Amino acid sequence: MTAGDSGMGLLVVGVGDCRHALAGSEGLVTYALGSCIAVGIWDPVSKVSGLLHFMLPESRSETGASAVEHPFRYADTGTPLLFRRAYELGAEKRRLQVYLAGGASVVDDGGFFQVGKRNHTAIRKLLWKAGVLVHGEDVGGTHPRTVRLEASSGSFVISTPGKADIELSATSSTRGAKE
Amino acid sequence: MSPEISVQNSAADACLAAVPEVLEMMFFESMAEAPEIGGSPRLELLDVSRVDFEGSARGYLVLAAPSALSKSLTEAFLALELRQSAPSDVEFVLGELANMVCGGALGRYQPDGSFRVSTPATRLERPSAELTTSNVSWIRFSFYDGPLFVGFQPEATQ
Amino acid sequence: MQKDVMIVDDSPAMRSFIRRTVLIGGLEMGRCLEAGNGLEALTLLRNDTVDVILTDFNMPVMDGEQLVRNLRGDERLSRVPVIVISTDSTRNRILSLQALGVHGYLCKPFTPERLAQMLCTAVPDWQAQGIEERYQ
Repeated sequence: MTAGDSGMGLLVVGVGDCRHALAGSEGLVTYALGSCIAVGIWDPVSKVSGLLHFMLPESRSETGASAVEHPFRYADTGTPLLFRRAYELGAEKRRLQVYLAGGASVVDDGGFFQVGKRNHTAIRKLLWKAGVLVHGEDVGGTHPRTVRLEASSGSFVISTPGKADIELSATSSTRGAKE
Repeated sequence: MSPEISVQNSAADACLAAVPEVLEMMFFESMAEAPEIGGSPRLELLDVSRVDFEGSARGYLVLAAPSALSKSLTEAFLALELRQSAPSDVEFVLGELANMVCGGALGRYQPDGSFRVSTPATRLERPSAELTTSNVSWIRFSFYDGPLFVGFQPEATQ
Repeated sequence: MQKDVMIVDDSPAMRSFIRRTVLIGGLEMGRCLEAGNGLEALTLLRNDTVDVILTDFNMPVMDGEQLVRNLRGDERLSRVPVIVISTDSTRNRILSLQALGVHGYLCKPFTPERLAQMLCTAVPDWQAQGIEERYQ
């Protein structure tokens, strides 16, 4: 995880990655969300934003150094780091807007092991235990997603091929999950 | 059965729909495998909760879970950390789970029905006989922390 | 702006879930009164009032419907918004509660976010400020 970026252009967040952006930057983007989930956070006062793209719910199922070397692959290790870094950059928990996207059922999931759904329930449990509500989400289905988090406005824009963009934002949506 | 109040879904189908919805939405649990109809759980080893209902249908719903799952569900529902739940917490949470699953199942079983649901009765490990019967049609729902057995037994009233 | 809340449910677990939702939902909660049934709720409200009541429907001693009828019949309490939270999703129940004039009906199971949304709707001035102004 790098220090917050305040330069020009969207900062790309890869798979199993997490980045933050500061006021003045354009924002963050992540691509190819299938069963993975993107967790976007934004503080409307400090304009600090963060985006995590995790692949699996729990690190305990992984052996060796994977969970230590790649904490952002997992919801349980990546999410605390997403929030902690945002606080270091000036965000405050009580102000944070939180959005989720992804968790699709992918063709090669195999059998009943629905990673996408499991990722979704895992992140929701983590956030509930941490005392954080989700302000908007676009999850499930079978389609891939691209997510863009705009640093100045906190708009969380979800794009899917062949469909209209979905925009979730602090100023336009009431508090609560998108249903 | 009153001709005006019809059964819209079978008891099994109602249960199959209600359980995942409740577990995902308020207990943040998703199933690990497809549910299985049938079987006979060893109730003496499990935590058991039962609610009775009456109205346009009469009957009960009973659920049973191993202690590990009961505690995990309790910790999720009450937002507790690992191993922070007390037996009384587990008792109340399992009772509420039975209550919600029963409500969800009844709403699907007879959407136009009218019911009153009893206060749940829960026993943790070594359940007493009055909480269960021998002719329950069980469905096994497999979660990552263990199986949840649910028996939904409505009988339409005359 | 702080608001006083009353939670009425015979399940301590559900009262805890609801209380937590209000606390973390970004709504400033003043006092939180809790009751295990409608009669306990009315007893607590005999010389007190709150800004919103969240009540279960199926409860022993006095159920949610009877509680709402009593509240509506009390001039002092009749305007307090009431949200009924119940496992009963049958059409008859929803219609009967609408007829009683409850401000909202939330069927269990529900997401905590949905409850927070419903509270904002039932008590519109609880979160009247825009998000940026709220934190200045």
